[in-house]
Amino acid sequence: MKEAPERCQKGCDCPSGVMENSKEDYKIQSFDMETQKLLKTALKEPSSVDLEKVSNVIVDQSLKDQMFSKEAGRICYTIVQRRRQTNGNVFRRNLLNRLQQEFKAREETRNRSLLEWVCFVTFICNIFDYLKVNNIPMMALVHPVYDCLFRLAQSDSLKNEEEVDCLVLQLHRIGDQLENMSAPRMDELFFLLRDGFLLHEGLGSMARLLLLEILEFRAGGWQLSDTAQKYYYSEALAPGLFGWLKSCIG
Amino acid sequence: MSFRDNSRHYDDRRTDESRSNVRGPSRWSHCRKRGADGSLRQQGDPDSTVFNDAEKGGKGRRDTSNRPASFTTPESRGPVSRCADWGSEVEEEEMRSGVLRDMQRYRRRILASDFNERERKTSSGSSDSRDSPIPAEMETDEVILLRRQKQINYGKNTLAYDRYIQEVPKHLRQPGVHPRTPNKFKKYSRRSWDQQIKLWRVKLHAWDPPAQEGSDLQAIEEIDLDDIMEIESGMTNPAESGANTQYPKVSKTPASVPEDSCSGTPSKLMKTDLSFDLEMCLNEVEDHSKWLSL
Repeated sequence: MKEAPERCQKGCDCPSGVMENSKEDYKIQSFDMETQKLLKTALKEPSSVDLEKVSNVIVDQSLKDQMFSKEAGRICYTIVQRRRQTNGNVFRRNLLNRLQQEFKAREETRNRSLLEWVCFVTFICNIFDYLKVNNIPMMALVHPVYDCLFRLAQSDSLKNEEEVDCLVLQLHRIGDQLENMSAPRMDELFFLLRDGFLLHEGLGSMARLLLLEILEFRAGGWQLSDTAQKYYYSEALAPGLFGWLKSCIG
Repeated sequence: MSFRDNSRHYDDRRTDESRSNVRGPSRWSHCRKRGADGSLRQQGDPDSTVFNDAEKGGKGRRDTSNRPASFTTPESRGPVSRCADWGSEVEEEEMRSGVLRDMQRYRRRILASDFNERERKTSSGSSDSRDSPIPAEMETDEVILLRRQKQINYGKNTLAYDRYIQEVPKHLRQPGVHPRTPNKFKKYSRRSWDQQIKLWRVKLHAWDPPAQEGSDLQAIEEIDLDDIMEIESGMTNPAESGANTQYPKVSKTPASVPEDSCSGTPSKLMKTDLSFDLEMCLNEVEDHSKWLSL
């Protein structure tokens, strides 16, 4: 699997994509003691906890904490893997149904809080990435995930760097899988992205850069060519770009 | 003649027109969706292309929110889901893809065993389509398979089943003594299948948690194995039977009778169940004539 290079929003160099096992602790520490205990037990001994509660905790936290929403899929995966020892699919069922509720309310969520909206999209995409059914992505999530990405590609969303950043990150991670599940919708989405890149007047330079990169990324078969990689990620070869980026970050 | 000519001209003209509508007047540089100024061409623009129709509404306005919040995917194969929530939708999806995967495995195994079988008994000449079923006799109707899988899942989703598979490792299971999951890929009538499921579940009850299990096991050990055949002596559910390859051997006494298959089961209640089943099976001549006549 290719690991999508991530650009931390704050502009620092923390590799938010990959971190060692210390990471799990980090995430769990942002919960209160009781919840920490619940989650740790859920990972080790899923049959001994209330999995419905666990799934609610995970969803709630994902909607608040973007860092967590990027990795929550892995936690869910671990719990689902052990469901033979638990009563059926309670956890997954509850998780998906919670997701569905949030999905239905996505427009209100977005109006209420951009952060929560971005967290939601990150989370649903992460679940799509990690939870598979007989090694195939869950069909039930394909179109909802597309719907979210389409929303992020609307012109009002393209004005918000957080949303563009989220959109592009999700496409880096699951774009190829999504395209396999439904190529026509990916084509449609990229019509929007091209439009946005070319015609959107309110688009910031950073957003434009991200869009251009994702356009190249998909055009190269969900990979960046070496030269494109150098252009986007190597300071030595693209001094202009990086100088500009630095000035943006300030 | 002149009439015919006329009508042909008319047709020609029409096709010319419709073609030009689809394609747009120009096939060259203007087949782009934007004018030279970079803005999208309007609908009805003489230079418009098919793109525009799909792009109607211009940039960024293709909102998909008119889609129902939970809809089943148009490209999914098989029966349309009736589930309203994602949780059940995914469970159904899982079952369906599981059945499809089992089916492929089963096909492969049939082909393999068919081949071995032929090598082994080139001289015997016995025709036993039951034991080496050819793919043509396979149940491939997805609705049926899913229904059967659901019934099987109910059986497997019991404490008794968990205890059973823990207590009796696969290689120690004896046909006729131990419950064997009915083979969902074989052609059976609905009644026959439902009976098999019923019998299987009855047998599984021997592993129910209550404390009388000692006597149950006793009873099972007393049975004369040779007399007992399972109703369904062919291949089991491949997911179940793993590397089990002894199934072709049971063909020696194919006329298995359901009541036999359960003589080892401990409770009275089951007995009544089973004699009832015998009647039913015998009535079902068309379905079982295959093995009664062998």
